[in-house]
Amino acid sequence: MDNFTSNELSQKINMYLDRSLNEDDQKDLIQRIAQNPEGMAQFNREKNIREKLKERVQRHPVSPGLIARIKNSLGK
Amino acid sequence: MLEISFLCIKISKSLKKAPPADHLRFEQEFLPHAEALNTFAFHLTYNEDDAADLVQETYMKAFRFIDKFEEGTNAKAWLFKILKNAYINNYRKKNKRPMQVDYEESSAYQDGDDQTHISSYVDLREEIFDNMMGDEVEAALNSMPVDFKTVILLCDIEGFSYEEIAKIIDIPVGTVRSRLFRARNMLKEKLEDYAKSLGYKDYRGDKNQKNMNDDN
Repeated sequence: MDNFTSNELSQKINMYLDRSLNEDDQKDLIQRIAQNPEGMAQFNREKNIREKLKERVQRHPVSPGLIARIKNSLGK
Repeated sequence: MLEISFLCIKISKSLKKAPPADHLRFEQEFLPHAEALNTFAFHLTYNEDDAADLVQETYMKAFRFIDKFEEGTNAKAWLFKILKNAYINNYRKKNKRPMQVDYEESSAYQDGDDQTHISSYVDLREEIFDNMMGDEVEAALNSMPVDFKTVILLCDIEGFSYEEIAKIIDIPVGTVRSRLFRARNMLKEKLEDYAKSLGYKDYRGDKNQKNMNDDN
């Protein structure tokens, strides 16, 4: 298993957390960071940041009125 | 708004003929994504009423063109694509805002030799998030050009993969990656600027300088 450069590691972590890494590469990354405390710390930090961003962006639930409008416009 | 209302009435007339089974399937498979669509629409329009109109138009178009939807593919992604196109047609042209990304974003991403120091959501941002309320993060996000904000909303908030985002906004996967990379850096800079305006100090530079001095 060749070592990743820091850029490669960073890119793979981003792709993993962005659900855009294929299954083999996911397994490979998990194995690598399990043996690399710095990589694991970077992974956890990136994951944490994404979770915090998601928590802080407000959801906008649809009003019952809008659902009724949609259903009505569809003929229900 | 008036334009959309006319469009909705026009589409609505053709929809009322659809069989009940189509309505049921539509409600079960497509309507559960209404909140995600409304959240995305709000961040594009900054207006609750416009967002609601956009969501309604999206559903009417989706229902009208349901035969174009490929079974087994991602219904949420398909709806987002319709909403994005409706937004471009109805709002973006009208506003004529300078928000298109027209530079060589792909090469900027691929040519970067040392992206690590800026591509990561580094410690400072993590601390900033801890100390910021949702409103401040939203303000930073909303101040971004729409093309950049869009990829963050689709990836980080709605959980779409690069491939799905590429289909939604009609750009190559490589461009999604590069745009996301730039968008995250832009958001990071905005959050840092905001934090600094509140008196938050980034000590990392001082620490690095101290280490360099120690080495010498």
